[in-house]
Order: sequence, then structure tokens, then C-alpha cells
Amino acid sequence: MRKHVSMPGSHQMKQFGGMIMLSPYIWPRATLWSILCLFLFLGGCYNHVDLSGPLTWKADDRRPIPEPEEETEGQWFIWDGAHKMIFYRVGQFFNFGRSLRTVGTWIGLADPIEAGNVNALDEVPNSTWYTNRHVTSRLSQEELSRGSTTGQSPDSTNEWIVMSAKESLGSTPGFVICDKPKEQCDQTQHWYLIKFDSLSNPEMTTASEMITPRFLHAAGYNVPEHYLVTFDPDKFTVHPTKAKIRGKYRRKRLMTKEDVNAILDRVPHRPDGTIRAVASKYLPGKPKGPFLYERKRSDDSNDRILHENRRELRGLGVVAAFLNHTDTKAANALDMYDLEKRYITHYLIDFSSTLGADNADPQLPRYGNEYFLDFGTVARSMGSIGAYVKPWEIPLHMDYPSVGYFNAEYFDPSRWRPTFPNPAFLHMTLRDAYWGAKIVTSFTDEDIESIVRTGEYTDIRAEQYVANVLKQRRDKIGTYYFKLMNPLDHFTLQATQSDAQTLSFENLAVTHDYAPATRATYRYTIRRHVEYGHDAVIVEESHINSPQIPLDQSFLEAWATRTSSANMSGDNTSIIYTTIHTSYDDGENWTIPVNVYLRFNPSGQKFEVIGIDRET
Amino acid sequence: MNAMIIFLFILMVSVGGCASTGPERSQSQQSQSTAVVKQDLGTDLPEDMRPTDEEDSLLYTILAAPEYLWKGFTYPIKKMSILYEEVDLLERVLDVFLNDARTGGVVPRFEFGGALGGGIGLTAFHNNLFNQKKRIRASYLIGFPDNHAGEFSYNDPAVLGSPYTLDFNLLGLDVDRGRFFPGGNRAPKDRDGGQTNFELDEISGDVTVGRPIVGDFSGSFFSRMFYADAKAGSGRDIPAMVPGVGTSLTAFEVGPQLTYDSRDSQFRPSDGWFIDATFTYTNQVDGNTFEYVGYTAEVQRLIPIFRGNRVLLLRAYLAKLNSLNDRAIPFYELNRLDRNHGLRGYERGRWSDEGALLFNAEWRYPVWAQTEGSLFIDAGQVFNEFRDLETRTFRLSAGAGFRFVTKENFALRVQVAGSEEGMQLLLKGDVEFQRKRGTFLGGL
Repeated sequence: MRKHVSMPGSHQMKQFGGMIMLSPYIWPRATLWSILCLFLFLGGCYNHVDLSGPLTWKADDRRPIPEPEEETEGQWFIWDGAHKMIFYRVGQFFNFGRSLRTVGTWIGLADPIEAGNVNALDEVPNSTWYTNRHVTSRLSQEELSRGSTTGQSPDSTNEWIVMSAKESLGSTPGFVICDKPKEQCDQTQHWYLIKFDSLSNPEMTTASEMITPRFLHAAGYNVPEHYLVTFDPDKFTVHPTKAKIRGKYRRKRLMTKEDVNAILDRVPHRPDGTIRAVASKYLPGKPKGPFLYERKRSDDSNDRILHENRRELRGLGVVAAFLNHTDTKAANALDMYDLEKRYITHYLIDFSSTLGADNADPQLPRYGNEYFLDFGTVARSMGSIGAYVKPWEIPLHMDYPSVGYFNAEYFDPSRWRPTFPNPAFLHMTLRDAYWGAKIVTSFTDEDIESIVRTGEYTDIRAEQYVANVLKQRRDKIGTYYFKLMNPLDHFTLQATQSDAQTLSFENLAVTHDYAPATRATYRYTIRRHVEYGHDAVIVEESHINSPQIPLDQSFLEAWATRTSSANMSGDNTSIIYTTIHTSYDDGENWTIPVNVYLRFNPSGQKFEVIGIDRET
Repeated sequence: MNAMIIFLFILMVSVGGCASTGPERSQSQQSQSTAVVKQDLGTDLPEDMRPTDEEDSLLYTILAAPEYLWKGFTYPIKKMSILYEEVDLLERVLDVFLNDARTGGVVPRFEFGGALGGGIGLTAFHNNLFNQKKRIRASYLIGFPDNHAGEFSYNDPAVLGSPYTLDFNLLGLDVDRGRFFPGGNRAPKDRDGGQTNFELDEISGDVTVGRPIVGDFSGSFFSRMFYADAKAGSGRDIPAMVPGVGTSLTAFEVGPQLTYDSRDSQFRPSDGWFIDATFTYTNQVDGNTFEYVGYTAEVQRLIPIFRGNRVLLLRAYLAKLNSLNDRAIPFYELNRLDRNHGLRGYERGRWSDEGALLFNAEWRYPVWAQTEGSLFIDAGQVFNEFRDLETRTFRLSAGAGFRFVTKENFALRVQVAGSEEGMQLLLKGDVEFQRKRGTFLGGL
């Protein structure tokens, strides 16, 4: 070990060519320790449920704000890709708060940074980003099939006026139309983005564009309305003064009928000459560019949580894995500003690279399994000089061209990757993933079949294939994440006799048949919650075979004994919590626990569920 | 020791004392059940009670300062990248070099460690002449330190719609710093006793007419006319007794070629055989000094491993020249093994003699989408007569490299190979193992 003796009164400096530099070897040792301690102090943190405030199911993010600037950074595909694959990830290393927190998590001294927009039940309140739908109150089959649509498909009795070519650089052919007379086409409320299939894979892209947004809508996300349309290619006119197309060097120029024909020549025509397409209705409001999956908008005071720390964006990683939504780049998100109510709503758009489609082409086996430039797999391939065979290194095989490449066989929920790294997905914790898995597994077989039917595959076998793959992917997700967490959910308190209650819950792994056994045993204790110090035990360790914890007379007596009357007033000092472990092998092995917090409500003389802490 | 104890104490206290929370808050009523979602319980909160992100704290902001510095550092890259996309810079650049159909144009070329040692130049080409997939190519390379090479080639895959193929090549060389190591397989390396220098001017034209015979078999007939003028170079001159030094030569060459090629791709093969045999007769037309015959035999076997993603390539190559009527073979026509000719750990021009025997084994594996890595080992020797061949005199080299390949063509190869004589770096665009026997530029 190199030793250094600091001489009293020495300058502790060295001079090099006129530059005075402080040698690192002569920094006082205490300073180094202090810096290290400081970093660890800041990096090592535990999460706990904040029970101090009331529970909320609606975020306060619809306050009027001045019209924000349009976000432009996320619109550029090459920069977005390079940034996410290289610069962002390197930058994360330099974010010492996150880096040290990560190190702290690895060595067990800290918890990861959990989502910042969840309520005490670890759920996402409704907001301009997300609305609880199918997972909390089941949608009917008709509602699932309808998705976000309002019945305003483009009016095929009118001649469609082409307003512009498709703006994005994606390879899916398409253009923007207005289904009303020319004089009404100034307003984008009559505009639709029309997207087509490729000649090699008829129905593939349009089916994906129909199916995926319906799943995402049911999951709770904001998506545009998508309609499947069949139209006569001769019923187009081009707006003579407003229709623009990006020509050579992306310069805008007036669009001509020849441009439309050139697009239509590249798409499959049906035997009767008509063309199948998907019409995506323009979103209400004024577009403000894509939302980034990192940071916040600086000009939106409603945007208070870093995007990568939003639960619904982190959990989207699991939903995207289910749908093979590989193209979650920034450009496939859009903020719309309501000019009347003056707030921003956040949408997901463009679902042409989902299921088996990669825009106009079929997905490649590597997409969904590795990033476009995945340093991990590249290093592994190089390091192993080819001995490492990636499980997804398989020939591209498609049973149905209308489906593209979509399978469950090589799908691994832990390994799934979008094409570009997504900051929100990178920050996803187990709790976020569990939340996403709950959404995915909320789709029953019937739900999946209903939504897939909206893809209107000509070949019924293709439809069945897609539905089956989705069911298998759902089951893999559920099996994987419900094993990593203790999947107890839907905690409710039910009155029994006199003052007694029962805390009922559902074991999602058992419900969905993902558990290793059909029967589970639960071990629980009930303690009084105190802010600091050791919690007093109210109910010693007990075992039950059904998901119902009795808060019966004996419990109430024990609780009354250990709780002063002053603490039964319904404030935070009257909180108790139960810690529940689950076993699927009659107590041989136990899962990590779930802590459920209850508060005594003196007015109703009942306990209420006020918080859930899922340990990971 | 004390510091360590203090550190651990502070650590334990600190990680336990830092708690993070971040739930949404409102002044709404409490929910009694998590199973029932009440959608409209939120009201506007005072500004100081609205949720904030844990990472918005001052301390996290301070700790994120290096990330902001990093962003500042990458800002110019970001601006350049966006500008690149905004103005469609790639298309603009391609338009400078290629035609609208991207079937032809003028592109820069470069190489380091190639047959001329290294150089830069331009290649003009068209791959779909007359819309009939006829190819034409003209290239000029300025080598280091003062070597020049010009090439012109024309390929017609179906002459007048017939099954016959036609290849026509013109080559012009002005080599002022060529290297020659007298002594064949025992030539010393050191500059004093081994490497010699020469100058060479050469003009060569050849025509090959071929046609498929049956299946993957094809045959062709090769004819070549060339003029060469070689003399001693600067520095340590090539010995005057070496045939070809200080003389000029005009000669013609003819010969048949038989090929069996079942490879699945010419540029990125992963399966199949390539078997090729040639015979040539060369005679001087402006004198009686040089006359010789040559023959080559080459066998390549590509073995796909794991569905073709990994390929083991095995290759054997034999070439031999024999002088006729006690005449000579000019040194610049000798068979050669070096970093451009199969023995990749040896410098340019290192081994040359009438005969060459070479074995290669190469393991190619995927690294990224269009990039594959390779490991290879080469064993070869040059010889004057077959009886000179010995198992213990094989020269060995081994190395690794990366090939950035496209589906139909090949763009760039970076390769490092080592031998008993040191390391060799090669950076060039080429197709592996494609060579023309009997021209100085061989694998150019």
C-alpha cells in the first residue's frame, strides 16, 4: 500500500509547467471518507409508503398553463437512437445520485428509486397521461373492441382530399386526408392519417395498427382513434394549395396526384380494386411535439414528475413486451395542448411496429430481444468469439404473411427490449413491472380474442394465431413477474359480525393459474405502526389457507390493549399493518412479504385500507 | 482502522435515515377498498402540496451535475446529428458520389496495408449498364510512398443475351517502391540481408470468356497481354541477377479455367464449395528470355454452424510456375504469400517463389447486424520445386479481424495478424480470397 505522510506546513501542491495541481495522493484521508460518506448518504435510500396524506385516484395536472413551445428534440430519429443507445446511458453513469443509488441497491443498502406518481396503494391515479380502465373496472367486449374510437371513421361517401404526405420517416406508406369538403378542411378535426400495408405483407401493418391501440387504450393509455377502412383509390383529390410532401433533401413542396399514385402503387389492392388501410384520426388540440421518456417539460408546471419516474411509462415496458411494441421511441409519443382548457394531454401514437410488423416489413427476430445497437450482446458475442448463441438467432419464419414475425416461443419477459433503449423502461423497478403485469394479465382469453378480431384478418387462422401468441406472452409475463413479487392484490375490508371485519385479498398468481400450486398458504402478523422504533405486535405470526385475514373480536381486544385510547382517534397514530407472506408448498418456502396498512376510522368504527407496501 | 469504523457507522446511519416518498396527494376522501377505483376524487391542491419528484431535490440536482456536463459535451454531436437528418445530409453526400439510381458513381477508396502498401484513390463504376446488369469500373489508386495503380474492368454476365460471360480488365502500374525478398521460403527478413527494392512499370490487359457448363460448374478461357519494365529501386537494390530486373518484357498469356462454385453468396458466403483450377501459358513476344506455364488449384469449403450464422472456412491453395525451354520467369510474376495473399501475418511481398502452398482456416461469427468477427490461422510456404516442400517449413500466422459486410457486397475489413516476424495491420475493402494469379497486384 502506498503511504503518504503529509508534512505540516507543506504546500501539498505540485507545479507542472506553470500549472499548479493538487495531487490526489495528498488529499486528507478524512476528506475522501467524507466525500464517500456523502455520496452514499445521498445514494442509499429506502422507500416507504407515505401514509400522511389522504389517498388519491386523480392527479392534479389539468391546471391552465401558458401555451408551451413545441418539443422538437424527440422528432429526430437518428439523434434519438444515438442518444438512447449511447449518450444517455453514458450520462446515467455521471448522474451520481442515480449511480450511487444503483450501487446501494446492488449491495442491499438502498432501495431503487420508485415511481413518483403512485398513490399509497401503489397505484397510478388518473391523469393527463393515464386513466385506470380495464384493470380496475372491467370493460365489456364491445368497449374493448371499440377502444378509443367514437364512431367517427372517415366518411367514405365523400371524396377524400389529400392534405399532406406522411410526415414521419417511418417506412409505412401513407398520407393525410380530409373527409369533408375543401372549405372545411382547414381544421384538423376532419383529418385522418391513412396508413397502408406493404405488397409483401398485406393486412400485417393495418392489423397491428388496429389491435395494439385497443390494448393500450384498455390498459389506460391515451391513443388516437384507429379505424379500418376500405376505399376506392380513384376517390382522391389532392388539395391544390395546401397538400405538401417532403421531396428531395426533405424540402417541402406541393403534393401532386402523381405523388399519391406513387404511394398507392406500393400498396396491395384487393381483387375489386379497393385498398385496405387504417385511418388514424387527428388528435384534438394543438400538437406540441413528442414527450420524451426522460426529464420533464420545463414549460409545463403540471409536469411535475420526471418522465422516467412515472409508473405508467415504466410499466409500459411490460405492456409493450406483451404487444411486441418495439418502436417506443420519442417520436411515437405526442403531447397535445388543449387551447380552451390550456393543459397538455399525453398520447402514444404510431403502432405500426407492433405484434409481427416492423412498419412495412415483418419484425426481425432480433428486435424485441436486443437493442438496435446492444453493447451487451455485442460484447458477449465478441467475448465468446461466437460460442454464445443468442436464443433468438433463428431464421425468420412466418406462418402467415399477414401476421409477420410474431411468436411466444422465444419471448422472455425479462429479456424483451425495444429497438432503442427507453429511459422509463430502464428505470423500471419490480413494483413497476408488477403493475404492468397486472394490466397485461387483466386481459382474459375472451378479451384478447375480441380485440384481435378488430384486425379483420382475411385468414381466420392468422387471427387465431395472433390471439394465441398474445395469450402465451401474457401468461409468460404473469408467470415471471408474479413469481418475483408476492402477487396479493385487491385488498378489501368486509364487515362480518358486530365490530369485526375481514381483510380479503386475491392472489393473482393463483387466480390466473400462474402459481406453482393451486393452493396457497399465507403467514401474517399484525403490528401497530409507529414512525420510529420497534412496532408492537398485535397479532403474532398466524397461518391461513384462504386469502382472508380475520380482524375479529380477539384481534380488536389485542389492538385495544396495545393502543391507548388517544391513538384510536383516527389519526396517523392509529395505523396498524399486516405483513403477509405466501407459500405454495405448505410453508417450506415463503415469498417476500406485502405490507397492508389499515387505519381505524373512529366515525365508522371500522378499519380502512390506506396503504400497501410491496417489498421487492 | 478508526476511519473505517467511522465510515461504516456513518454509512449505516445514513442509508437508514434517507427515506424517499412520492405518492400523489389530494384532499380527497379515503378509499375503503383497493378494488374499487373512484375516478373523480381529486381536487386542486395548494402549489406547495402538489407532488414533486424525489430527484428534484437540491442534492440530487447537485449529484447530477456531471451528467449535465456530459450533456454539454455531447451537445454539438446532438446539433450535428439533428442537422444531418434535417437537411438529409446522407442523401446529399450520396448524390455527390452516386447517381440517382445508386447504380453508379464515383467513390473514394482507401487502403492501409494493401498490395501497394497503402493509398487513396477514386473508383468510378456502374453496376447496371444499359439496364442489363453489365458492370464497368475504373479505378485509380495513389499509393504510399510513390506507387500508382490504375484499373479498368468490364463485366458482361450475358454477352448479347447468350450464356457466355465476358470479363475485360486493363491494369496500369507505376511502382517506385516495390519490395522483393530473394531466397524464397528461406529469405531473411532483415533489411540488410533480406528486403530489396525495385521499380516496376506494367501495363496489362486480359479477356476472359466463360460460360456455365452444368449446374455449378463453369469454364472459361483466359488471355492476357502485358508489358512490364522492372529495374532496381532506391536503397537496397534488388540484385541484378534476379530474372526480370533491368529488362522489359512484352508477353501474352493464355489458359483455361474450370470452376465449381456452390457457395450461397459470392460476397458473404456461409455454405458451399468453391473449387477452381487454372492453367496458363506465358511467352515473351519481344524476345526469348521468358517463357513459362503456371497452374493453380484452390479448394474452399464453407461449413455453416448454427444455421449459417457462424461459418468455418477451410481453404487449400496451390500455385506453381514452371519455366519452359530453359527460359526464365520474371520475379514480379512469381507466386506470392504475404498479408495480401493468404499469409496475413507477414509483410507485403514477404515470400515469393515459383510455387506457393497455402492452408487457411477461418472462423467467422456474427457480432452485430452487419458486422462479423473472425479468427484465422494461416500456414503456407513458397517453394521452387515440389521436393522443397517440408512440413516443418510452413510459415504460420494467426489473427483476428472484423468485417463490416452488407448483404450483397462487402465494405470494410480490419484485420490484425501476427507471426514470428511481428504484427501486421490491414484495413481495406475487398472480397476475401479473390485474387488473380500472375499480376503483381494480386489481391488488390
